[in-house]
Amino acid sequence: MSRFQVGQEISFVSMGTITPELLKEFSITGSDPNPIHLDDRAAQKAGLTGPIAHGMLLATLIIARIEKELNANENLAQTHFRFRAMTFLGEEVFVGGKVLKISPHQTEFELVARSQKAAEFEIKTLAKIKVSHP
Amino acid sequence: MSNPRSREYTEEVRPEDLEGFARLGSRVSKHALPALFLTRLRHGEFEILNQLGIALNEVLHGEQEYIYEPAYWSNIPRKISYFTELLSRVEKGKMLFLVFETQVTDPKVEQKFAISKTTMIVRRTT
Repeated sequence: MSRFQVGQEISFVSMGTITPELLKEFSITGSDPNPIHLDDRAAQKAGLTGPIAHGMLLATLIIARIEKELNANENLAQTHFRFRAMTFLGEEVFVGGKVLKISPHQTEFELVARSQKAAEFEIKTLAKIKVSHP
Repeated sequence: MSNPRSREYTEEVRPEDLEGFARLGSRVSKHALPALFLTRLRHGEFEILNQLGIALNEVLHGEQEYIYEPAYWSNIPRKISYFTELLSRVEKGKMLFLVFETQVTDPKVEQKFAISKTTMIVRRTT
């Protein structure tokens, strides 16, 4: 039986700011050698204005957010991430969302990673996460 | 014609590989791998990109899906094996969309651990 309710909000929380040190660390943690995350010239050669965050870094921040809501006996069954917009150095990433569906042994969440640009939020990554529970 | 497929890779799971995920706030216990540990298993995708003559800096990550087997949450294997297959390749203007599937197993017990489905977008700048 799920502890959650359909429509229940998962509040938006700051998961930190994208820094060169974070990108360098995630290149090692995520085993991703793509130079567009680390090197200005490589990023510009690829048509970007500067290094961008790894999609999987945003995904990791989304997982870190939802795991704060889970008990030890609730495990991820399926995760799906859609990377919608690039995230550049200096952007602060906020993650939150809501409970989408509940079935007898699974709860599905819809989460968003976003950052604030002027007065508006820009969605960076959309995630659907299915959690299995006893 | 069959889809391009990588060789099988086997990677050791080292404690230091788990620590980076913990520092980013991921749940790490002595019994379970971090949820996105699977993002490390990319050699099969890189091998196929290389076969297709695609440079890594032309590639963006479009979508990522992981389907976990229950065993994933009850056991940290010492080694993980995986291979990757290119499922589809679609050209749209200067963009090329590639969909990969990676099957992950615990080689010690030959048990399926997880499936990864990756969509990569290749941006042709020339």
